[in-house]
Amino acid sequence: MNDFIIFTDSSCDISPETLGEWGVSYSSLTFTFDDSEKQFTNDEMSAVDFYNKMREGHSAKTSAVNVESFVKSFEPHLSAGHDVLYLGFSSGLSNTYNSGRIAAEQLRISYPERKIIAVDTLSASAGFGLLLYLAVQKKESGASIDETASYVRDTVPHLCHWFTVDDLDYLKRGGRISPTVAFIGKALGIKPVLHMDNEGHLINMSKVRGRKASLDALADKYGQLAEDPENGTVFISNGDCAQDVEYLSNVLHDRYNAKVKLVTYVGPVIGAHTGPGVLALFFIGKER
Amino acid sequence: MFKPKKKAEITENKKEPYNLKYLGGWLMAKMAFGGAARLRSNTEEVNRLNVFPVPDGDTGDNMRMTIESGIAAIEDLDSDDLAEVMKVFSHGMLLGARGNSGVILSQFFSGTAKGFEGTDKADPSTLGRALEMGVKQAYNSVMTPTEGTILTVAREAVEYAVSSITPQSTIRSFFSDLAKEMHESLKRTPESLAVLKEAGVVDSGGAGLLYIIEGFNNVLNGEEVSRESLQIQAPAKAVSVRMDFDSESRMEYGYCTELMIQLMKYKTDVDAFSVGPLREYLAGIGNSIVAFKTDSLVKVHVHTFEPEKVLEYCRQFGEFVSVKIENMSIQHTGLADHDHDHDDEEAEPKQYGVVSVSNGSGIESLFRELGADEIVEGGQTRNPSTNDFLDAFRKINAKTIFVFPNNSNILMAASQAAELYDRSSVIVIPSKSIGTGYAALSVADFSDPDPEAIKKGMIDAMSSVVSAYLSPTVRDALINGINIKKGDIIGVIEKSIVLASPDCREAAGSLAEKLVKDNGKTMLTVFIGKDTDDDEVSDVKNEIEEKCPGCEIYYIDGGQEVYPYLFLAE
Repeated sequence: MNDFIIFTDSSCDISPETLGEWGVSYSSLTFTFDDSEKQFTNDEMSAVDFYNKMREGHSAKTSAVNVESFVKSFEPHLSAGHDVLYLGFSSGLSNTYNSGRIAAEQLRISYPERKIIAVDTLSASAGFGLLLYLAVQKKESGASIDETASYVRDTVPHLCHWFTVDDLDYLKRGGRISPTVAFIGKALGIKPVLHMDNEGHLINMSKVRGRKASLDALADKYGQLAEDPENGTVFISNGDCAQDVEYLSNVLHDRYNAKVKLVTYVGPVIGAHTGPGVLALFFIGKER
Repeated sequence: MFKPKKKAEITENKKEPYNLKYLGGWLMAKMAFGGAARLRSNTEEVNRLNVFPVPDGDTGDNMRMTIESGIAAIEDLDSDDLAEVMKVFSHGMLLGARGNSGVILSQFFSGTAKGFEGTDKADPSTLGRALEMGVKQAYNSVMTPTEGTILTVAREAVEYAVSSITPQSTIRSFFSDLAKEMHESLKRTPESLAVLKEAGVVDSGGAGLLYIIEGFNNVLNGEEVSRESLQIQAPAKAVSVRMDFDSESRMEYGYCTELMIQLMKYKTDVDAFSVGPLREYLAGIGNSIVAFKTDSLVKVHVHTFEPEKVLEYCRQFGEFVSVKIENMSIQHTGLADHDHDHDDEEAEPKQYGVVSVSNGSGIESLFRELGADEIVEGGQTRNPSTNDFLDAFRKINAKTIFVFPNNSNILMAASQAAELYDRSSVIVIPSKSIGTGYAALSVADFSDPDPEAIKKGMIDAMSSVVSAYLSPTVRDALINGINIKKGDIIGVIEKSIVLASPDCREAAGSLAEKLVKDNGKTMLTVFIGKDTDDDEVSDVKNEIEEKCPGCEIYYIDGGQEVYPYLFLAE
C-alpha cells in the first residue's frame, strides 16, 4: 500500500546512520575549499574538521546536486518498483530542489506507472531534518505517498527555523542575506537573530547585543511561536558550539519544560555560509 | 553691552538704593546684568563645589554661559516692559542652556517670565507669584526632582520671600528676603542630599542661583556693574562678509577636503580594510579628521594644506566616487552665497536622522558608522548648549531625529532643544553615557517605519546595560568609605565610586570584575581613551581578561578625553 521511499539530500544535516535507521536515501551536495577543485561530501569530512578549517581562514564553496545525479539515484528505486517522494532543500537557497524536480519530470516519462513526487521543503539544516523525521513517522503510521506528501506540504509553513550566527560576515560574503539588513554587523558584539521565511529565504529579524542575548532571543521565539511548547519535537543544529547548545537546551527546559529531541551539526553545505558558531533551533509553530 | 537707552527713573536713584514698589523692564535688565556679573566673578567657586573628586562638568561655567546667553539676548532690547524683557531674557537662556543646572536655571526664568505675561511692571506680590511659577516650571523640567538641589533652594527662598510680603514691602526688601532664605536653604542642602554631606559641599546649582540673586541685590542696592566684569561673548553669527581670495592673499586656512572612495578589490582587501592607518596618516597632514567605512565605501573629511597628498594616499586603496576640495578662506564667503538650509528644505526629507554627542575622534567615527548624521561636540567637562543641539537639528533634513545625549548632565539640554524644535519630530534617547548610547544605537533598526518601535528597541537595549568608568582624581576625598588620594585612579559604576587605586591596571581589572560579577553580565565592551599608552593598554586587557573568564569582551579605540577607560557590561 505505501510502498514508496523517501529521498532527500545531504543539506538536511541528519547523519547517514540516522537516515539509514529512518530508511531514507539521499544525494550529497558537495563543497570545495578556497580555489581548490577537490570536492568533498558531508560523509568525507567531519563537521568539526570542517569548522576548524574555516576558523583557520579557509573559505568553502558549495555545489548543488545536478539533475544527472538525481536521475541516477532515483532510477534504481523506480526500477525496483518503488515510488519516490523527494523532499528537497529550500529552493530559496539552492538549485538542488530544482534539479530533483527536473529529474523527477524526466523519469516520469520513462516510468509512467511510478509516482515520483518532489516537494520543496523551503527548509534547511535540521529544520529540513525535522520535516524529514515527521514525514518518516507519517509514512510509518501507514500513510500513502500522496498523504505523506500533502502532510509535508501542510507542515512546511509551520516549520520554524530560528538561528543566530557568531560572525555575520560569512552570510554577507555568501550573498545569502539581503543587503538591506547587512549593515547590522557594524557594531562589535552585535548578533543577528534570523529566521527562514515562508519562501525559504534567510531573513534578519532583529539584532541584539552579545551572544547570550542572541541565544535568549531564540528561546523567546520558541515561547512565542511553538505550537506545543512542552511536547513538540525540537531539533537543534550547531556550528561546533556545544556549550551554547547546552545553554539553550537548558533555557528551553527551564522556561517551557521543552525537550530537545536531536542535536546535530550544521553541515558544511549550510556551515560554509554561516561560519562556525551558528546555532539554530527548529520546531513546529503556529507560523514560521 | 547693556546700554539703557532711556534713563528713566532708575538713574535718579544713582548710588542710592532702589526703594521701588514696582519692578519694571529697565531695572530687571540691569539686575540681570548684575546677576550675571556676580556669577561670573564666582564661577570658579561654584565649579569647586563638586561632589566627585574627578574632572567633571562645571556647574559654574554651565550656569554662567546660560545666563550670559540671556544677557546677550537683551543687550539691544529697548524696552521698559517687564514681561517683554523677561521673555527675551529667558528665551535667550533657554537657547544657551548647558548642563542640567543651566537647563533648570533657564526653566526657572522661563516660568517666571510666563508669570509676568501681560504685566509691564510688577509689585512684590506679582513678583512673588511669577517666581512661584518659575519654581513650578523648574520642578516640572526634571523627571524626578531631587531635594537638596537648586530646586529646593529656589522653592524655599521663594516661599519665604512671598510669606514675608507686607504692605510696606519694596522690590528691594523682597529680593533681600529671597537672598537671605536662599543662603539658609543652600546651607541646609547637605542635610537633604547625602552625597553633598559626604563630599562636604553645598549644592553647586543652588550656589550659582544664590550668586545671581545676590547680583540682583547689588544692583538694587545701588551698586554699578562694572563693564569689565562682564565681557559677554556674543554668540557666533554666520559669516556673511565676502573674503576674497586673490593674488595678494595668503593661504591661511587650508583646504576642506572631502572624498568618497570606492575600495577596489585589486588594490586592497576590501573586507579587511581598516580606516585606522588612514586616520593616522591624515592626522600627520591635517586636522578635523573624519574617516569611516560603510561596506566598501570610505568617506574622508580633513582640513589640510596638502590636499594632493590625501588624494595620492587614498588612491592606493580604490578609486574616487567624489572629490571636493575647497579653499577655506573662500568657503567662508560661500556660506553667504549658498543657503544650505534652503537647499535642504527643497529636498524630500529622509525618514530618520541621528544626532549624537561625542568626545574623541574614535567615538565620533563609531557613532558615524552606526548612522549618526551630526555630532555635537561635548562630554563630561564640556556640556553643549540647547542651541548647539538646535544647530545640529537644522543641518538634518529628516522627519524624525533621534538624539543621543550620552551624558546625564547633557540630557536636559537635549530635551529642551527637542521641545523648542518644530521642523522635525525629535526623540531624545535618554542615554546617560557614551556606552549606553552606543549600545542603543547599535541595535537601532532604521528600516522600521514606526519611530516609537525603534525607540522602544533602543530603550530595551539600554535597560540591560550597566556603565562604568575609570577616572583620574583631582583631590583627596573620602567617599563610600573609600579613601581616595589625589592622583589615584577611581572606578565608578553608574554613579557610585566603588574603588580607588594608584595602579591603573589593578583598578581596571577589579572594576571589570565587579561590574560583570555583581550584575550577572556576560558581555563587556571597553572604550580605550586618548591618554593611554600601548603598554598600559595591553596590561589592562590582560588583567581584564584574567578577571572576567568566560566573558565576551570587546575593545574599542574610543579616543575619549578625561577617562582612560569606559566600560559597558551587558
